Amino acid sequence: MLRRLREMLGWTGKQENDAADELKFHLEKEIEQNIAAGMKPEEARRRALIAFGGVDQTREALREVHGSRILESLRQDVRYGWRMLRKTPGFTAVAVLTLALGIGANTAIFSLIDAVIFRSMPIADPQSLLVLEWQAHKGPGNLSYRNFGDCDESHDSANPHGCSFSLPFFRQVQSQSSAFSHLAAYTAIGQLDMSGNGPARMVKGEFVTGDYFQTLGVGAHLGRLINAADDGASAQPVAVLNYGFWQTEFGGSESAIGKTIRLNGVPFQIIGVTDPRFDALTLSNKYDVIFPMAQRPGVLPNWKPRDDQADHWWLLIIGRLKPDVPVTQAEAGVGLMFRNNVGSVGKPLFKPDSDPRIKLAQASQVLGGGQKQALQPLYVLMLCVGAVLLIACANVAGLLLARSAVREREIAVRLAMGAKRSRIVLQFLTESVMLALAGGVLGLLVAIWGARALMAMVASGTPNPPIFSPQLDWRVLGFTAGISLLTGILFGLAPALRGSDVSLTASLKSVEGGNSGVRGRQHRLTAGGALVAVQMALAIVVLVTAGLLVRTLSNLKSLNPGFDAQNVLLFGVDPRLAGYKGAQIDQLYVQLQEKFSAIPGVTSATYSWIPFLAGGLWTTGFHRPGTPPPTKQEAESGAAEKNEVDSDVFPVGPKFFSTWGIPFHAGRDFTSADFAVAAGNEGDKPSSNPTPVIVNQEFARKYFPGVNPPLGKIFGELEPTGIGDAKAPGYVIVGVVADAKYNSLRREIKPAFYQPIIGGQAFFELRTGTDPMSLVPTIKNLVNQQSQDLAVFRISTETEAIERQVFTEKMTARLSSLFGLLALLLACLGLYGLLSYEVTRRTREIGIRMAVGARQHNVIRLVLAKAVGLIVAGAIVGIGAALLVTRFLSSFLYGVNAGDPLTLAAVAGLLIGVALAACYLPARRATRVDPLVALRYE
Amino acid sequence: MGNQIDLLQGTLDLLILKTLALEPMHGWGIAQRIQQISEDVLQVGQGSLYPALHRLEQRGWISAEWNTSDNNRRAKFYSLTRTGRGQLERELGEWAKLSAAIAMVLQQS
Repeated sequence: MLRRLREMLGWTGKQENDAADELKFHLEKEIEQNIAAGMKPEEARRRALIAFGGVDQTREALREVHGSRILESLRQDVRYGWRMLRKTPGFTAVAVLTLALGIGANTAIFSLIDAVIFRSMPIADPQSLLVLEWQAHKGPGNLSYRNFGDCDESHDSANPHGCSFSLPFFRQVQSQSSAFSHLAAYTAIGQLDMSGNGPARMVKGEFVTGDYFQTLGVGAHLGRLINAADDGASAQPVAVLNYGFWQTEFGGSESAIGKTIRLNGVPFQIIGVTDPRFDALTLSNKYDVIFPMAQRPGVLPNWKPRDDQADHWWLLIIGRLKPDVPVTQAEAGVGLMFRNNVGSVGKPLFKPDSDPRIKLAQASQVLGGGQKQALQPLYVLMLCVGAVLLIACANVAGLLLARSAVREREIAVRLAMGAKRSRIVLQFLTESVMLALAGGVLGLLVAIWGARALMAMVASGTPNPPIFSPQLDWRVLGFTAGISLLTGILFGLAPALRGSDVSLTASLKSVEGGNSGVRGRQHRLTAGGALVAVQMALAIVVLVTAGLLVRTLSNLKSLNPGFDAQNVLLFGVDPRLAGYKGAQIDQLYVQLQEKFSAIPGVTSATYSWIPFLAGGLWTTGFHRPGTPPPTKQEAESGAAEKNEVDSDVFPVGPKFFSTWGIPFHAGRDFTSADFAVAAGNEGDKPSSNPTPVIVNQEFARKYFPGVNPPLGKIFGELEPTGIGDAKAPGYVIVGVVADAKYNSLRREIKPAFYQPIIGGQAFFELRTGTDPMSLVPTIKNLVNQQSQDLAVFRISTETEAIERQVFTEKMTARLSSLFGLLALLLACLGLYGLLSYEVTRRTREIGIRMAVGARQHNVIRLVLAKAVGLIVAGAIVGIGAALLVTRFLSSFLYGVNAGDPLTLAAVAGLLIGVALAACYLPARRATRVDPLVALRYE
Repeated sequence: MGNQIDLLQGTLDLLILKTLALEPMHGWGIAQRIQQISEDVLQVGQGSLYPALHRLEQRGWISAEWNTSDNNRRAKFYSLTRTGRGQLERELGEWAKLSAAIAMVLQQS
């Protein structure tokens, strides 16, 4: 085996010496023989040398015997290929550039996908970090469940699973399980009001248990991180800063350590900064400030003791097993604790026979937070650039085909001299792979530049810059090398096989430029034509994809959301974090609303829980209006479920509908009396008056069919027998408004009711007569006058909010259009090349035709007939392929179907038009053929 | 030199295989043996002998080994392999067919 390998590698120094020894031995034997025959030694030597002949030639011959192995022939081919490529610099440049574009675009997109998929968690030994996941046949109920997007969850599917757990369960595992060497829990907090370091601002916070950083194996860049002692009930409040946050907010100053900041009014001492490499555990959740779990009751303004009970699931549990503990054993042990814990609640959280269990999943696989959303558009783009690369391949293959025609005499000579066909094919392939590799190297540059440009585009368009960065790791380099090699073989194979298929005698006899005798000539044209048709088809696939995405974007942008989005300024305030409580908050909102309304340039001001199209959504369930409330037995047995309906809930302030321009169909807007009733129903002991609500048309249509308008109707009331809840008065409808989108442009309009906002955070919405952003300083001033601790956050306009909603669509639409145009350009270049070649080849024929009286249009028809056939064939195949491929796009599309005939027709029209334009030059050249010149070739 | 004839392409391989069928030999020995047996009609020059030997070795029909010859000198000895023996059988059969065919054509005219 080793010997074979060495032989493959060719002639080595040792073999060279061996051969020399062998020849020397032979010569000595000759001399000996001559001496034995009676010659004098000198004479014997002279004669022997004469008889022996040229030693050098023999050694050269031996070298050839050994050297005609793969490497040696490869070396020859590469040398030869290099000469050929240098001889035709124009061809080489065009081919390499085309391939560099194709390979570069693919590498760029791949490097992004690679960065998202293989983003390794920035922690020690990410493979062994486990996360607890519950699984059951049916998802849990009767509990409060929160998920912050770290973990891919599903509650309804065939296999419900999730990663949120209750604090008592975590404490139980922590104290009773001996399987883990480290165990920690964490949860997001959301927005926190930070003051004490410049003006008040909002930060993203995370609570972690004492062993969190030890479990992750993350160290401190500065100071120290949270430890178990910090997580005690009587411990001093301390906080750790994320490195990036420390850089931007504290200028990377070491004096930040020991400083006291106030978070939601609670003083915290900064004790450390995390390692710069640790940006976030999951893609989507990056936290600025990290606190011990024990500080939750003090920091969270609306924390209640019941939040820490076993039916409130909100934390994620991570851990590492002790080295000798098998995963299955740990799963069994923790699973038992889980079932015990769930069973201790006093009400059924899981339905009978749903068999809840615990899985210890690899954190890197389960905590994919945000990965899917990031990947989907990248896959679509990968599809586009893949097609572009194939077109580029076909283009270069076309060029090579045309060139193999020029080289047929060279090939014929080589075949005549005994070269094997396989040798010639290899030679062609070597050349094409060389081209592809050159394209790949250049493509890497294109990719680096392209990926950076893409990331910059993404970063500029989203409020949360992506925390993955594309890098040229071995996967990306391997990918580039792989596709370069593959493309080289792909576009080289057809020309190689055709090129080596030469009829010897005819080719050798033929005169340069004349009618030569290549057996494959007719085939070659067919092959070239097929390539062009394939290019057309691929271009159609990319263009249709782009077309559908562009139409989706324009559908989303031109969509009427049901409110007037122009000139609306949005910003959030959370008075709870500045110490306001209960009714003070509502009073503050009313005061602020008055002040904002009085600002010159503001035509109307209102506020609501969140603005439209901000992503947030609140839905609630109740028994179908018109049916009696469920009894206790019905609620417990699940029989009440069939009468359950749901609706979106949107807490809003006064003048909400007039400010947003949402028309009333019936009834009236909220009055201050309505707000008083709502406030009365907010606490644990609601009044007997139902909360006044305003419903949208969809709600009225769906839940009160035939009652038009359903003013004064009551729904959602609960008898005291309802489980877990006191008697609830429900809601009374006081108005019906037009439908409007709620959290997302794509989501269809669902039944919704608007209720008076009471307490909590709020976003103000100011309709302005001028540029909304110009009012920001005035507003900040006003808020600061009201209270110095009050922070204004997430300032934007509603049009910006919509832009953010369609950002992904915009990116994919723009990039796929770019790739679509590139595909079209390349395909047309291919067509142009083929037709030019065709006209050159048929110059004499055209000359004769013209000499015997053919008119210009006859000649044009002659050239176009073939082109039109190819274009139409390509278009038909392409539309078929596009119909198949674009089906996978349906989840991206909005207001347009995957097989949208209008898009298909428009793309086909565009392609045929541009393709015919590409035929113009060759056709015109055909008409300029001078019969005399053409005939003189003979 | 007058009574020497050129070897047809391919026949040298056959002669080498046949010679080695008797016993392992070094290159010079093979050339001598062919010359002796053909009574000096077939003289194999080293310029064609050694490339042929190396080619046959690469095809796996013969194998080579450095050994001491007379006078304690090191020489490269070639011997026939199993596949080489098979190849020899085949080539002998083909040669017989070819020479019979040529003989028939020549007798005809």
